[in-house]
Amino acid sequence: MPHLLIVDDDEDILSLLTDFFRKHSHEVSIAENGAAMFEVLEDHAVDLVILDVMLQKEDGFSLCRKLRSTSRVPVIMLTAVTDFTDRVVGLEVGADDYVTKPFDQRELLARVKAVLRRTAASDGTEVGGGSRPMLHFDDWRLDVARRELRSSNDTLVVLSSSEFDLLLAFVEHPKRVLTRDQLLDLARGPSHEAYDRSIDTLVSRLRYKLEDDPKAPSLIRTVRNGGYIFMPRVVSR
Amino acid sequence: MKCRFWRRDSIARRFILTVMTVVVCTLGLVALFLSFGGIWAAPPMEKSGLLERAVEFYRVVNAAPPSVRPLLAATTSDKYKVVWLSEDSPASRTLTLAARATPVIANDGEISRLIQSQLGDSPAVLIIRPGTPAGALIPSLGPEPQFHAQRPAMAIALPDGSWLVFSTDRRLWGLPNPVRWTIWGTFLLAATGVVSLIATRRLVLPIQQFADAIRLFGTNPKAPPMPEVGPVEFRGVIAAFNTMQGQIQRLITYRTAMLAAISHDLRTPLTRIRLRGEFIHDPVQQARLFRDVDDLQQMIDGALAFFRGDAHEETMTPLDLPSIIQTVVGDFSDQGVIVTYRGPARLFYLGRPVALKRAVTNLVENAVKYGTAPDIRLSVKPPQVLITVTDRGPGIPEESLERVFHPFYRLEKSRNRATGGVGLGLTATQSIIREHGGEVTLANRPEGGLEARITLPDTASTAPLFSDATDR
Repeated sequence: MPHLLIVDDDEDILSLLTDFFRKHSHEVSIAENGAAMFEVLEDHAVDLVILDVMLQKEDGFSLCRKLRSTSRVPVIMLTAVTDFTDRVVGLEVGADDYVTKPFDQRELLARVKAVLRRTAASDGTEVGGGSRPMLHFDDWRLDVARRELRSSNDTLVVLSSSEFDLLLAFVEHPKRVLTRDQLLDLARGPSHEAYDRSIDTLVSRLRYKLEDDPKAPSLIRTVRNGGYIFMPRVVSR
Repeated sequence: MKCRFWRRDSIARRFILTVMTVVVCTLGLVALFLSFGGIWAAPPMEKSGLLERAVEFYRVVNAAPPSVRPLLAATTSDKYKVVWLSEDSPASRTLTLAARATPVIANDGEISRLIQSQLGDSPAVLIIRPGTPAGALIPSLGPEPQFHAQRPAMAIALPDGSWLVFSTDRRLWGLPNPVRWTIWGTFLLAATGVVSLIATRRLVLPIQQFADAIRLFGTNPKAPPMPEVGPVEFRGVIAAFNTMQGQIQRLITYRTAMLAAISHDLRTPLTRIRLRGEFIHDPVQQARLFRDVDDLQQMIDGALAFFRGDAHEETMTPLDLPSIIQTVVGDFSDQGVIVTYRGPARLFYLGRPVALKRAVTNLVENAVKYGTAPDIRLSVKPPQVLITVTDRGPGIPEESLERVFHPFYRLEKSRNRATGGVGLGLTATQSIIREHGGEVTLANRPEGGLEARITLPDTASTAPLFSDATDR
């Protein structure tokens, strides 16, 4: 059972989130400020920290930076604004992901699962990748932390959030046939409400953005009656 | 009082000094001109009074007996030399012959006629200018110094066949009127022009610097205050401007702080509402609550983004422009709104991805809200990139086409958000596009519907800069 630490200075939010994550079988500790956060971290083996940016004494960014100097525990920041400065700062201080307030708790759960999965995967295979893996395939580079896809000449290709999640699912499971259900689970978490068709739509959008010829795809191939397979070799650097 | 006036570097003092400098310099230049080019400026001979004096002198000589004539000639010369040639001298005979061949020298007919008319009985008049055929006569007139090949002369025959020769030290008799005035006018204009140009530049410089500083503040509200230099009156203006700039900057800072606080204070309860909403068991009511939260959040985001003008803060990055539009198309398609895209599959552009996406989204949202699902077209017409969003809705009344870009202006008079929005979408789009050096315009299409057109400067020329960049 993964152990989460939620740091927020609003009691109501803390209790609501605690209930929600306990219901979805997570162990939850809470802290209202930085000092309490470090106390909990000393006493418990925490798998993931959910950290609010706007805290009373010391803000989430500086806490995250402090945390990073001693620990590699994954961090999801709760930012107040849908602002890239917050996002960029958040990523620069070493956060693994960020969620904008007010958020859908299911989305937060999906992000938590994705980050946990990523850390679990990278612990075994990755050497010194830190919390911000950079995944290379074909002519592309996927910056997981910044949620950015760039081509080899550094040109940013803009993806929607769901397109990115799906591409990440592919990139993390290359050369393997993935059914639509599997893809939905990987991309959206288990509590999704989407249907199979939406995966097909997303795949065709990804193909349009990534493939040289979307009609004859070479990156994401369709497997008849099976699903999809991601063809290129993925290197994590 | 007077001393203080002069010691202060005031506009009045500068002005007085400038006018004085201009006048003195111009006068000096005119004096120089007259001393070096006086001939051009001198009046023509017929206006100088010389002719009248020549006529009078002629009468005196004519009345005197021949024996005193050389003496008279030698004593009366002041402005010009006069020589009397007796009728039997060889020079006289040469002149008589010449006068018979050409009774009136063509180009000086005017002068000859003047003299002849004043004398009544038409004596032969010869105007001898250097460089004309008559000029060749000069050396044959005699050894006297006034018969110089370079000096003009006038010879008038006396009734007894002797000749009076007038000659002058001046090389020319002056130019005809129009030419003279043209030269004068040109010189005067040029002289005053040059002097005033140099003098007023000093006067105008502080004003120009002031204008530049104001322009800088217009584009960058964080511009530093202006140094207080220049004339006293001006330093007062600059000080006043600096005070105003400081007040504006303080207002902006307060506003930003206030908005950040509002944003934070609103988000926490919104998050609580969002989380509590999970406990609503009626799915319809829950969905409505969530939509309300989303609306509220959008309004906060829109207002914040607008007031902070945060397009500045996102960094420029090389990006694929169609992928932004495709993402917008996809987002709308997920909401069941089919937006079509026509244009290239790949197009390099240097810009701010989040801001550009917001700009396009706002236009599409507008079309969906007021019209129909729009078509987006992307095309490159060097040196511009065009994005057009066209719908088949009712369009916008012509008189509102400009005003819809004003913040919080909405076509609906009601402030009903379900139809109206906050009234910041187009404003935000406009400021984003302007940050990119482009422009966004709206126009009603003749076949119906609205066309929103984004014109961006083509950054393809900068592409090579980035295509070299390799990944780490």
